[in-house]
Amino acid sequence: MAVRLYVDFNTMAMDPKARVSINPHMQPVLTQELHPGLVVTLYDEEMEVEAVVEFDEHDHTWLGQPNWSMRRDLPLPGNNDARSA
Amino acid sequence: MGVPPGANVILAGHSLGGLVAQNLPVLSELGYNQRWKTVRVIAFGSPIMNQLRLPDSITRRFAVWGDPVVTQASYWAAKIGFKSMFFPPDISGWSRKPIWIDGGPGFLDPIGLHLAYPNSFDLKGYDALGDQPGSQVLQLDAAHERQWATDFSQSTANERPWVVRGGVATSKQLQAGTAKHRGVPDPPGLYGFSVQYQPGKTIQELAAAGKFRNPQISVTTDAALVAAGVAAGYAVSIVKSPGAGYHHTVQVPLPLPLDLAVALSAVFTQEENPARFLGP
Repeated sequence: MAVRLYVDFNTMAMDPKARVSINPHMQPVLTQELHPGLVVTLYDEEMEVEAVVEFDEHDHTWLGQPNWSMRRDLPLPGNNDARSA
Repeated sequence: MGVPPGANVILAGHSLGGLVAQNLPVLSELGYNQRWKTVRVIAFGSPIMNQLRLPDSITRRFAVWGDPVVTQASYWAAKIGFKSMFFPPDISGWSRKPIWIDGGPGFLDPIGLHLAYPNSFDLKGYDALGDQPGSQVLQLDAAHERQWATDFSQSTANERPWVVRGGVATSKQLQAGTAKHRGVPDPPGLYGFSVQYQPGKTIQELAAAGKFRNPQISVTTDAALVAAGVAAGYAVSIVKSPGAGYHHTVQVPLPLPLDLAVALSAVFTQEENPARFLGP
């Protein structure tokens, strides 16, 4: 099962390649398991997406390059229906 | 600012402006500015926080029922034991209630409530000094009028300085998004979370520029965001930064403290994403 990482998808806006920042403060243990090329699941309150992990040497930052064909909306609270891409 | 020395001054402001208005006379008492005599301070929708205590006789603080900037910002400032030279907490403010007024319909819209003051029917019962009943009327001297800022009350809904994010701006999401802005070298660096922001742009324009993939967006205004930050005891500012669309960064401490994250999250409201991006 892929590692699931909580992210803020708004961070894509500041990356020229539209990658999502992985904040090590949010899940320090999981971040220790990361390595470039690892396939993970990025998620927030509303959706999740598969992504390939990259490491930015310049900024020393973990990033996720999403595969948007693998996006899936998460069920809203009180709603069991999931909406897929 | 062109105000004659010794002039009687009435300070009035909304939101953060009202907070500043409450504190300018305090600075005067501390000796920072003794050029004017403040005869009245009128604040609309501002956090209640002037520990150095202006006399009650000169302050009038109007608060629309449900305005989150008045209630939650003051609550968080008090809860965390806010300490600052200029903006300490007014714990006693809870016993010195503001003048509660009706902002009209829209009790489920926190932003609308915060911006409802120009339309409040209750305010029509107060005179120019904020007294009821009162008879004081200000006669404006157009020949000497100066304008230092945009008259926000004249803005239409679409012209308000909106701040828009994709998804639900929970405290957790804001904490996850707070990071060093890549592409801005240290020093000085840039630390904060991403928003779409451009005064004059509509919510839909900002949402489209952000290419948000979330079903929902979170919306607030620059004034509400900054006021919430100040009330929580932190300097929060919105600065233009490299990125897609109208990208700006809300500058906050890194990592984002939970109390500030909660305070900022509280001023966002969610609505359906009007321009959801589903491309590759």
